[in-house]
Amino acid sequence: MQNKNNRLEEPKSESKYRAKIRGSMQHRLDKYRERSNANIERGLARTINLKDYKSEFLSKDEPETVGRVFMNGLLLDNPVLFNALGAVLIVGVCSTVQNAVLLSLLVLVLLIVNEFMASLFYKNAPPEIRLMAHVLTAALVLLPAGAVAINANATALNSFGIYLPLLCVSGLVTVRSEVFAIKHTLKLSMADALGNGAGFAWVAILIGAARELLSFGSVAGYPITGKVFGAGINYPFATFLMIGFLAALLKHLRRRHYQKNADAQTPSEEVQSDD
Amino acid sequence: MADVHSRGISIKQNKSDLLAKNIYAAGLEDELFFSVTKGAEILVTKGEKLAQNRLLAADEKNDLHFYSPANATVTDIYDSNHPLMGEVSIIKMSSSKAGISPRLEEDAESMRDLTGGMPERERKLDSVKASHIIDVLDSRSLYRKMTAFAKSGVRALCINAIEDESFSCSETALLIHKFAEVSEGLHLLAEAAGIKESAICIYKLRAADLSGLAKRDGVVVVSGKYPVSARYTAQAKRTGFVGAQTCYDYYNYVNEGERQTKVFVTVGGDRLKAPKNMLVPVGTPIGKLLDKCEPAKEAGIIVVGDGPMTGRYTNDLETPVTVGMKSILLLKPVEIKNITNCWGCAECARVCPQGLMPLAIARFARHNMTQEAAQLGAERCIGCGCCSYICSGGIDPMRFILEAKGEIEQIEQTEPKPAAQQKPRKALFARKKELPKSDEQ
Amino acid sequence: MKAITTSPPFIRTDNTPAAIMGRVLLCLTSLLICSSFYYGARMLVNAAVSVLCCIICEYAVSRMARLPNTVKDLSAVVTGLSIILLLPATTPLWLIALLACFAILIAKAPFGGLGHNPFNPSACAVAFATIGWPELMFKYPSVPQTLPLFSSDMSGVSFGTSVVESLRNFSLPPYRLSDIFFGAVPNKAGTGFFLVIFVCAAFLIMKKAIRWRITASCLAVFILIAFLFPRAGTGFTAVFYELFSGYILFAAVFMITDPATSAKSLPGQYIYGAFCAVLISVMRRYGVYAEGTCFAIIICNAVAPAIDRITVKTAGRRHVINAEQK
Repeated sequence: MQNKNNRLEEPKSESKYRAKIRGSMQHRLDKYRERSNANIERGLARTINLKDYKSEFLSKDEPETVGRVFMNGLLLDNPVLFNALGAVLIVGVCSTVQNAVLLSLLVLVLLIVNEFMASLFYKNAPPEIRLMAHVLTAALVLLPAGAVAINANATALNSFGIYLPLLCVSGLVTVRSEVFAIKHTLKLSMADALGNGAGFAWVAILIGAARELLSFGSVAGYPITGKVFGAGINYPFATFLMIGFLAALLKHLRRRHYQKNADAQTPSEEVQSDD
Repeated sequence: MADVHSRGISIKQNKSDLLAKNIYAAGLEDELFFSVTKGAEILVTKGEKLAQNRLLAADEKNDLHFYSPANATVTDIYDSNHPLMGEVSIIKMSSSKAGISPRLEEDAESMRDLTGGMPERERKLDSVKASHIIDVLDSRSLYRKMTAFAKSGVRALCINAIEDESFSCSETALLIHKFAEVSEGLHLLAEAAGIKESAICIYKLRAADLSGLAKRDGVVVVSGKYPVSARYTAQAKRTGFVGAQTCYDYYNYVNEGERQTKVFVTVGGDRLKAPKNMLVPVGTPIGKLLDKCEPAKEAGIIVVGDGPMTGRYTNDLETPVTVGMKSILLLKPVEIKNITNCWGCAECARVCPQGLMPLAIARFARHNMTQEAAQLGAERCIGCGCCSYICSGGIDPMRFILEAKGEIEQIEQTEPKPAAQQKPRKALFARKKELPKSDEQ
Repeated sequence: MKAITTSPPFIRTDNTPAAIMGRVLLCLTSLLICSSFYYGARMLVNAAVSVLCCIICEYAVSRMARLPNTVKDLSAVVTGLSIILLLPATTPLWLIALLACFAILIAKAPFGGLGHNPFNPSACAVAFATIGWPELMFKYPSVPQTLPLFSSDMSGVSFGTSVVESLRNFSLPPYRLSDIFFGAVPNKAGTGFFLVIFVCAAFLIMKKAIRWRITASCLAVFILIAFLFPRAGTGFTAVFYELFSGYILFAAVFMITDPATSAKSLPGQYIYGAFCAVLISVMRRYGVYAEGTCFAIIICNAVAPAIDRITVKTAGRRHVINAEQK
């Protein structure tokens, strides 16, 4: 369908030899175009169908309420622990509680604005444009939000480094908008944004506190043990380990929760991601 | 002496005592269970009285003929399963020990034919045909094999008595005790097929050295690690292999006019106190034979066939002895474990004579990933069992690999290979006009 | 009820993981005894703490996962022993206990226990210690001296520079060659007894408990690199210093040959060993720490499955071509 529309127009005067060459070229071009279209579609499908949480965790008949959506974001479908969305931010940035709080506030703002825009305006846009729109929205929000944050705490924001601009292409913001917000009402999207923001926040603050305690001997700036346990805790690998074990723990709890609630609805097993 | 291959496993060869003893002639049992292949036409009826050497059934498709081992009365005919032959019809007979064995008219005719005016070679092959002997190596018709050898220009005829599995040693025992007959039979066979050279291959055993078998004329001693027999037969070029018992039976047929109604089997295993090499009438139930060898009190499993590595399991004590059953073993049961017990020691990859990675293939095959198993070469498995023997985790990789192999073969039979692999060489030499067409497609 | 084979083969070897691990354990114990001659009974205390922690963790994990008791396969004991042999003898006991628990609870058990762990547990533990407590890891007591039995207060102990550190500064080590060869220089606790390690290697190769191809190719490539790019001394002296410093020899015999984590295909084993040697050399020369062998081992373990995949596939393809030619 598309290929025929994209065909090069035939010039009126042309030798047979040239026509033959052009024909063969056209043939190949069509092939490549077809293949790349297929690739794009497949990639988009993969991004969009990243997690159809409804079919996996809840029976389809159950209505979605604000409370349930919020709880999903907070615990049962936590973006960091179950989908590894935004894990890179935690690994890269959350070395202290202060950083973690600042980061989760920024993420919360981005999530709210993005999902608001997505649920109101982007519903009818084609998927290729939608993804760009999410990123652009995030970038536009990050400019004023970042300025405010720098006024609040410049040293902490400086320690973000490259991760501050990377926030606007963070999987957490774009994927939640793409997966949830464009399919649901404004009310539910807001609940989802708040839930996911809170879910990200508690994981970030917990890991930030653990890292600060072990590597600096203090929590949120207040000295507790006063001595350094081991310098290695502040390296990324230790954070990955923490996320992995936290995810395993929460997955175990979630499985028990669902086994209690639903009869046969058990979430599928996933490979443990640690180390 | 030939060292065949360095890869494989070294199995403990516990046969010296067995080979030193004489071959024990087992008497005729009261009840015989004669098994014939499924496609064969049964020529006797229930209640019929039979003379010895009477033709019981004939499978013309595979050229297999079955002769009665004794004077007997047919009591029952029914279908059953045999561990070596698969689906079989069983002719149950009650034997009568009285009476002599009359030579059949048919035999007399065939002997008369030998003196007819036919060309010499065909005449000799004709005697092979008339003998209706089944080869013990692969349970195929000897006549079919010999004609195939004669056609394909085989240069040497070889007795394959390389029994490198433990316990099983009926062929070597036969060679030790009846060497003259076997070697004469081999010469007769080679002559019949027009093959000039002949040899006897045995495995390097201490008993063979002691008894002087290794130094006899025409004996080749083969050494190496376990799947020697398979390796040796695969490497030998333009050589035909037959069993030692086959030659012995042919010798008896030519000189005495006897049919192939008795086989040599090893009754052994680590759960038997008095293992023996026996001469047994075909159709004897294996339970009776095991009873003669003082089975131990502990539980054991019965394995029939070539030996403990490639034999077949059975739990039926009425399973009859057939031609091609070289050993009947009562062994210690082996416990097998789940495939998750594999801990990656890769001993199987070290010993595999085909150079495969059994641990990886087995894991793929276990999860029904046949394509991946095929990529790792599962269809090259020869089923020697080295990987399962050596496995320190106690799992059975070979079973999974063979399952995958069967599946691959099934797929290849039903679906033709993709066109890319079957690209004909003609394309290189084809006319240039044809090339653009194929390009456009 | 136990499952019994009904398909061939019907006989098996009496080979078990415990038998293979037992041979390795014998060798490690001989190293432990040697080191206790140099450092006193402190080494035995270290070993007891480490092995006990490993066994307790392993047992707890096997109970949690409702598996049969996996302590019986002795792999936990081997892990515990190799951890303390790879640490300085002065390492405080709390750190040893922590590392032993780390090796079992984090590097081994979550992946499914023996044979399913992607990384060598003892290498993981040592890497963790090197990152977390580098000031403890690179402080070697001079030999021979008797260390305090239990206390982690090392004020009365004299320390010296190890051969690896002087090589890192491109200077000749201030020790005699014979002292270096017999392990009488500051080093990790159990890795300096090269004569014993050679005997162990011969024993293990003879018993087929380790993969000699990996050891051979690793040492060959390592010697070649040391010969071509010497850091101190020239020619064979440089090779001597490189080979008999740090724990390259210990790693080549005991760690990279670990059956569960190393390459399994036969041609892959040569590649794996060579890759290990290159990485170890690079880590020693350009790494942050003077001795980065444990990191090299972890990276190699991660690469091992890929090496297997490549080599096995090429082997299969080659055979197919041969069959077609016939």
